Amino acid sequence: MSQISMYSGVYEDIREYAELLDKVLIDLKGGNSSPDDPIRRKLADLLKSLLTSQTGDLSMRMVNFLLRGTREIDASELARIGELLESTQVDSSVIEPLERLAQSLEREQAVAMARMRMRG
Amino acid sequence: MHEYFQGAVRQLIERGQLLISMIPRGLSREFHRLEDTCRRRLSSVLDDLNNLITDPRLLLAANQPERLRQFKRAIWEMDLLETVCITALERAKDSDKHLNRVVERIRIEIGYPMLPPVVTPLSQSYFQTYPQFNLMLVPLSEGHFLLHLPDLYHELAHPLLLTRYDRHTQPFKDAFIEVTDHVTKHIDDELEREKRGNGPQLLSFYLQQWLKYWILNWTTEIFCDLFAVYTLGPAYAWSHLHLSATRGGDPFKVPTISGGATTHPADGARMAAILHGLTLIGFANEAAQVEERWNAFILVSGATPDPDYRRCFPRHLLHIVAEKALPGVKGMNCRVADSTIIDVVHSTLNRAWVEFWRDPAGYANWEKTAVEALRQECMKTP
Repeated sequence: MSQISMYSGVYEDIREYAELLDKVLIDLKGGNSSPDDPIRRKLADLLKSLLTSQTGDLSMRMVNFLLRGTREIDASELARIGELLESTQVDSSVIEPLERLAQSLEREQAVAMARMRMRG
Repeated sequence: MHEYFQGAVRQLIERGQLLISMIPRGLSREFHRLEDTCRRRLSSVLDDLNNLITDPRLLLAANQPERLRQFKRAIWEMDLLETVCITALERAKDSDKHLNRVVERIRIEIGYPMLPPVVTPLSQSYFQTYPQFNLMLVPLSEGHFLLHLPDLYHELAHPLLLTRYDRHTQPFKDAFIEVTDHVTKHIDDELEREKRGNGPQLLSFYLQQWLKYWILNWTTEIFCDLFAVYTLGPAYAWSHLHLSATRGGDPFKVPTISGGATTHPADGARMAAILHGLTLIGFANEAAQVEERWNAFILVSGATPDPDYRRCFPRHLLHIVAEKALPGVKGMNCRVADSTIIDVVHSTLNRAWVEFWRDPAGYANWEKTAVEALRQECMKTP
């Protein structure tokens, strides 16, 4: 009945996505990442699903939808990056859009927090 | 930034530890799960904060953006735990027990597939649920009345949509996903029509906005309404009418440039889905009675649906939502309401609305006795 109920879900979904993304970014920048890393594989799957939105997971579907509506996010570019993450061809051209995605998630999470605080 | 993190993170760690120490001892049983959630999440935040000042990778200049984002997430999480969970635990009193027992009884009556949320009378604005904490906030005096209690059923539906890897709740979520596909198709068709007709660009913008609201907000609300209709029956429809009449705005509001954003679907759209849902489970007569009163309310309010409303909330789409949600609820093996059910909470809440219309002037007196009877019944072991 309240928007808290709705935004709590969005907040949780984005938080999980954002944490995963930052962990992968730290590993990528430190040169400590390989395509077999479970968190990197998970992120690759999520990014690829951005284009199709066919994930059966409701939470991820919601986050995907939220991100596809964000101006800075190009779903096809991120899906391509998802494929690159499955390979060893990772360079700064991969990291830069992931940084933008992380910033975008941060903004969406801030919005969700603000809406929860508004109550009503 | 390094010095800033060294100071701010340590201060935040102090705060987290203080919050853990503020969790009262000897809380009653219904608060144990919330206490456990609170302790676990606070510990996790404290671990993350410690990492921010000890993990060598996070001290590298290249990783400062990630470090800052992680820091902010930790603050948001701690804010939420402090303002919601710790506050609820600090104010846990015996007076909360009644509604907790009512919710526990509802859980048993309807075959709710999860543990019941903790109910606490701390809400500053109507019913609210934090699904991640399994915590429901209600207004302070709500336990003394009956007419709005059907909203407990609506709030119970929110956590169902947030579960993951749970086969019991999957049918409800699958139904939700199906509905979002229908909504997307409806909006895509409308967009296509606009393109063909060279309609104003503003309408295309509206349609895209409406799609966003439908997927991120409105479908959830209408699904929770329908869960309440299917598990409680007519009382929920009456309760929605009551809420719309007392606290609602324009029942046909649609987000446009002049109308502004709305996180809730229009009350009229919700009522259309609710009435169709009632009919689907065999309460066609009751649906007609609610509709008659609803139409009278609309007439008095002076509100009328405009073409934007009809495009945003077409009746056929609202009916599809109701039709998809029903197997979703049945698929969770929840008990669907019918007129033969004599369970105590179900009967009390439906009877309350019958009494309200039978003798409006005498209702308040009847309600006092009924609330006391409900209280006594819920004290007993089911």
